[in-house]
Amino acid sequence: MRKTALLARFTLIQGIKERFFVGLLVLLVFTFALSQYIGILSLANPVKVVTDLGTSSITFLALALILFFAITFLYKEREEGMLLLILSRPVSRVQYLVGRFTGFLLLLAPFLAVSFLLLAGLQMAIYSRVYQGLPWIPVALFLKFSVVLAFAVLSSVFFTEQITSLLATISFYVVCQLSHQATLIASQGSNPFAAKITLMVERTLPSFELYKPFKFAQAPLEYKLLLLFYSLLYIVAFILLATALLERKDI
Amino acid sequence: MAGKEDLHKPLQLKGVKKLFKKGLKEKKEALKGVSLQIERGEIFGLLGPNGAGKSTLVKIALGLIIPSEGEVLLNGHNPSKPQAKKGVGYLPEHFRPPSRLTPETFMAFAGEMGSLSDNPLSPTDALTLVGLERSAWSRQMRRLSKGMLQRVGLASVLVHRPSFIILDEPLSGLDPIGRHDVKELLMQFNAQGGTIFLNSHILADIGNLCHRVGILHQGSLLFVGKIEELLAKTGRAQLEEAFLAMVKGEKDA
Repeated sequence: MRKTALLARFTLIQGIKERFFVGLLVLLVFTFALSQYIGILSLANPVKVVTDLGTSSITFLALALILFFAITFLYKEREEGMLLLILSRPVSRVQYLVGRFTGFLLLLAPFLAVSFLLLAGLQMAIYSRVYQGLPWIPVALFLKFSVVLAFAVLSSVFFTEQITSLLATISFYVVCQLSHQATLIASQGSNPFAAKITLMVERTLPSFELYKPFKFAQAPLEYKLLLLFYSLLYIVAFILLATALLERKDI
Repeated sequence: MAGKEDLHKPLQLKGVKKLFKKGLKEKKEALKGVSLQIERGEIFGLLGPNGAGKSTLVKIALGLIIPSEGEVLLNGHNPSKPQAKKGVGYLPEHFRPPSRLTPETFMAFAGEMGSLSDNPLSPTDALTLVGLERSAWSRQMRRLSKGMLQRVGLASVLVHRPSFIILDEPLSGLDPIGRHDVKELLMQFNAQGGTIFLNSHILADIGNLCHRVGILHQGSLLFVGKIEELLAKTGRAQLEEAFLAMVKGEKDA
């Protein structure tokens, strides 16, 4: 436990010091300024427009954060010898992977928190009110991106090439994002095979339809807890699979 | 199974083979049944040309690569188990600590990892021990020279006061003064009872540092013994000549 916590803290420090992380925060401020401008121009419900645009920017940047850190960490650490140095200590591969994953979560959480605090602050300053469901939106995004993060860790252990791992994670994200829509379209079509396949994909992989931020914000607490459990199941499954793979891998 | 006496040996390899997949059907035999034993308190140098299998052997010893065949005992345990690595320090070849961190921050992490041992050094003591100048402690790692980075790497190995250290090309990238300092440091470590296993292709460094050497060539261990024995066996006066005679002899055979 102590070694895992130590690795998580080290990952957080490493992440915060990365120029990419700081760059994302700068980009975030820029996109917020842009969304405020568009909000002022909108005719009706500017707070909702600003929240929509802000959430989309945060979603995009959070995905970039995950892809940058989770995909590159194993390759970079192997190349630079850090992985060898850490695993030559009394640290198991499971502790290493769980520690790194927890560290990425610790990096994602403040990024989302700071982003939404900034968004709320801007709304307060300009419109003297905050969008009603705003506090729940980062929670929905955190749950969704934790699942993507766990998959990114799994794919970086599985694939030997960084680019393959990156493409696999992006594909995973797109499929999970669109699986519900695809199932609906296929069920209305004339091809029963396509309908079966899309339904199978939607039932096997996590459906990101469930994490829609505005839907989540208005849902009852039971739904939120159920979604937490649903996310945890996928996270545990992906991390267990990743550790099983790493245990058998030559480093 | 290891006997009671074997548990005290830092490293034992018996008939270790490693096959790497090379394409769909083809396999490359990186190690061909290597048997080796490191005694406590000695400095052992593993020599070999590039591609001989030295790094593979070291990684197998540390449980980072799983052998295809054979038995490996690190401190009497299977090296894939964390308890086998207690008291062991390892510095990989071309080690580059995280570029945006300072030696102080990095050593704080290494020190905490080291505090898993009973009596660790403080991070600053470790940096002082390897002779890294104080002005470099708070500079980002990307601004340090190769020699300085090597010293940071060594400090991270020594911080938890290991009894057995494995070093992969520890003198590469160091200037003559740096090499001298590191050699002094290693001899000091050994004089305090520490065991050292080092991989190097710089024969001159091995010559005046190691008690015993091993010559690994194309995955086979051609010789293990004292340098004088190697010189006597090959009939040469210099280690470099003796090494070449061993390796070329193997090629000719």
